[in-house]
Amino acid sequence: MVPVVQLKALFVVFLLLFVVACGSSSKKYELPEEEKDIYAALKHDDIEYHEEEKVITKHSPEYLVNGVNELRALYFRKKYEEATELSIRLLKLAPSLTEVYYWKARIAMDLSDFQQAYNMASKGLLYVEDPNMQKELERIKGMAQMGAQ
Amino acid sequence: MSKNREGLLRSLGHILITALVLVVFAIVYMDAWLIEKFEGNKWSLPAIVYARPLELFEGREIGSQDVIRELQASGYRQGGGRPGSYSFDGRRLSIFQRQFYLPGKLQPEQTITIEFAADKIDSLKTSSGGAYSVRLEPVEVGRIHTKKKEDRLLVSIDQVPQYLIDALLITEDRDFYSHYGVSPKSIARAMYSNVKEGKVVQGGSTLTQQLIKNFFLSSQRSFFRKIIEAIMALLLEVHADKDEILEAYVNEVFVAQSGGRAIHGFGLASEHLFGLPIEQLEIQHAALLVAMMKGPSYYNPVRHPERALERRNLVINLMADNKKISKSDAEIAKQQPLGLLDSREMPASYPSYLDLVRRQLRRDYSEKALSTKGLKIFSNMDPQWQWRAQAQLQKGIQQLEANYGARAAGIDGAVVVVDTVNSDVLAVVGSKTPRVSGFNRSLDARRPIGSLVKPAIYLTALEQQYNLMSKISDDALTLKTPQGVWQPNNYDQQFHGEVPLYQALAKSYNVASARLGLDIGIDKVSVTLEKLGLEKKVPKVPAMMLGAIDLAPIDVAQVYVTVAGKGFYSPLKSIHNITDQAGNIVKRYPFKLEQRFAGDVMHLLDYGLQNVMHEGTGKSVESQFARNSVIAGKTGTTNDLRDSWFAGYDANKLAVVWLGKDDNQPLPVSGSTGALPIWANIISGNVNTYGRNKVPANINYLWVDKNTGELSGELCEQSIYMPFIEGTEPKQQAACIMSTRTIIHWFKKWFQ
Repeated sequence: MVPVVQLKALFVVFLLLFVVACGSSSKKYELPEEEKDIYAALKHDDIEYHEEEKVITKHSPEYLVNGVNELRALYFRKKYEEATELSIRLLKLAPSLTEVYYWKARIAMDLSDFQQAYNMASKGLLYVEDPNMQKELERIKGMAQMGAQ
Repeated sequence: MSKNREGLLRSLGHILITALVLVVFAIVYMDAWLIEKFEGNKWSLPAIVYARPLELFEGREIGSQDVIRELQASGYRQGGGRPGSYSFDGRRLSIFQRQFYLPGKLQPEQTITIEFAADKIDSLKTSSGGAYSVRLEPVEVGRIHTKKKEDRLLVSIDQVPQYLIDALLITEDRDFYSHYGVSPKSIARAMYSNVKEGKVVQGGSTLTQQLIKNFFLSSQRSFFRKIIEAIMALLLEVHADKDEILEAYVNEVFVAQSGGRAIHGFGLASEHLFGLPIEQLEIQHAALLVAMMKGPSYYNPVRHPERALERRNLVINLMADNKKISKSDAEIAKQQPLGLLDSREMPASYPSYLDLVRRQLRRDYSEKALSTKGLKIFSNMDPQWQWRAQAQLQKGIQQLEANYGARAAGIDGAVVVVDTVNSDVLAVVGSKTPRVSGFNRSLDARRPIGSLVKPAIYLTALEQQYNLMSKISDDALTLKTPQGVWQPNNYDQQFHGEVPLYQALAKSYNVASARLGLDIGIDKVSVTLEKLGLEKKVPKVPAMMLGAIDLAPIDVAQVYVTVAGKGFYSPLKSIHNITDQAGNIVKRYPFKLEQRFAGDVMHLLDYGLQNVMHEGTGKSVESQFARNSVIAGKTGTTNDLRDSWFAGYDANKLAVVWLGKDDNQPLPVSGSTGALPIWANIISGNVNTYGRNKVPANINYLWVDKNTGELSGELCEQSIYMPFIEGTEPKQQAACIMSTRTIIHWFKKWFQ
């Protein structure tokens, strides 16, 4: 039979280990960028190691922001053909850019192409994250459905 | 006697008057015909098909060599600093952009300066200022000619360098500006030379007469034809001024043959021979063009360079003797080489893509309109994807030939690459020798698609309240059909009992898929295929569940682009829009969408197809992609390995690859070992892979047991994180949730 004192000591050790483990997992281990090599990744689960530079990247937001601003301006100036051309170019580079689908839907509404307006709004809803934009897209969908009836 | 003479004279008079009236009518008719032809659309101008213009902006991920390759493909040369050239010092690329047309817009000449950092545009500046992006001149995909295959690039007389005009007139028609279409002096001079030599050594025709002969008449040679030619030359000089006649000549003259294509006019000849626009020709180039007039075949500079050089220098001497250029300029020009375009610099052709464009155009235009009105067709071809697809298909087949020797003899293939956002066809490769026009397998090789049909079966099932964990039987199946007994088998020749639906899809179990399809109904699966975009009628037989449907790769691409597009159908498009010669848009091909499948069901199917790449028949290439890449697809292998297919996509690109033999003999590879690696090498080059899948609101992700499908937990062994449509989630809990093994497993994770 193991002495009770030793059992208690063992329990305290386990408890301490448990507390230390909780503490370390709640803090994200940060290594400088240049040290995030494969060895660091093996040691620490939190570090992501990328064998190559192939990561999902974002294009310079400036280009997309400028593009969407221009798209909006073209819409309000009723230059629908130019706006459509620009929207295609933007979507090729940013296929989940919700704003583009939104403006395409509005153009389609103005041109009374309710089916397309509905479809564009539906596609935009696949990617939307902003709740206000979501409401707008759903509103257009509803209007397009009414317009088609 | 006198009465007889009177009668004779009267008859002669009548004949003469009749003849005169007939001649006058003939002249009036010729005049009207000449005016109509000369003042209308004079020439058959081929339609020119362009690729998409490359768009550049700060932050774009693209390598400097990729940009330079596109510039070279558009005819830009290194060095010079003139429009149509570029320079690169390893980091900074300066582009001296020519003026060119994009649909509805003239892009002016400008200088673009780009700095690269690794494979990304670090900064971009233009001489015109202001723009946050630029578009480069598009690469030419090909041309659509008449049956005569005349090709020309129209130029105005103002564009033609003066020394080219001087060389032409000195050599061919010295008195051009002083005669009225026919030059008695030239005729007399020619007759004297010919009589002196005892043979025809000199012609007396003026440029006007030569134009009449080439433009209006046939090449028949006779005295009567010469008379007609002379009369028409006189008439032409009445209606047109000298510059108009000269301009017509410069655009009409036959210069050279290039394969099946007849090069007419100095405009195209200068691009074809020297790679230069006509305005940039130098003295030696102009002299060579004029030298070739005497006999384009005899003085062909490619086949007979010494002869061409000798005659060129003769023309240069004539120019100097007539004081059109200085003697020192003449000496410098004579020292220059012929200056012909290297065959490696010749514009490439893309016959498979051109074929697709042609077929799509036939719906809206007659062959005559296409090949005569000089239309400019702006296609969706992306040269970067086209080159990559061509190179990887060639490389892949060469690798198979090296690995398998005689068994791989005769393998050929096809690739179609599509943008999944708007269904633009980016690349079409119809053969392992893509530059040669021939059998276009991407459009015309109709082959059984095998397991590529399975996503349609599983999609139909998911719409019928199945979920990814639904159990389906992979036990032996025997079916009596009108064609006989049908007993499908699996690729590994084994049966796997009850399997979850997602696994049957990932491992491509034939028996489970066939059983599932039959349970749901052939008609329903057929409707799904139609909704996915398949226009062809499918045979309503059980074997259809295993892909006994003959389709071309382009048809497969249409079906899979709807899957990749999350259930939104959009017809494949190879053309963006069409302009007339002046750059005005005459037709657009707009981007249209139609939602044909619900988002939640498509999310499940997408998950299943992604799983093909994680643990199914596509897993051998997963490591080629970045960890957070989203890739999905399906292999296809037909009976006796006669066809090897892979159709797959990432965030915004879909590629379909087919390998097979034209004589339908077996291959040494399956879909996984043949088409799949080629697909991976093509798609893994896509740097623009960002794009998120938002999970539909009625989808719940839950941890379930891989084998039983029961609710489990993250820390359970054999658990998998699986999406379910609300209301279809499993209710039963797996035993592992609170078992001791779970706790031990949990502790193990802390200390690893």
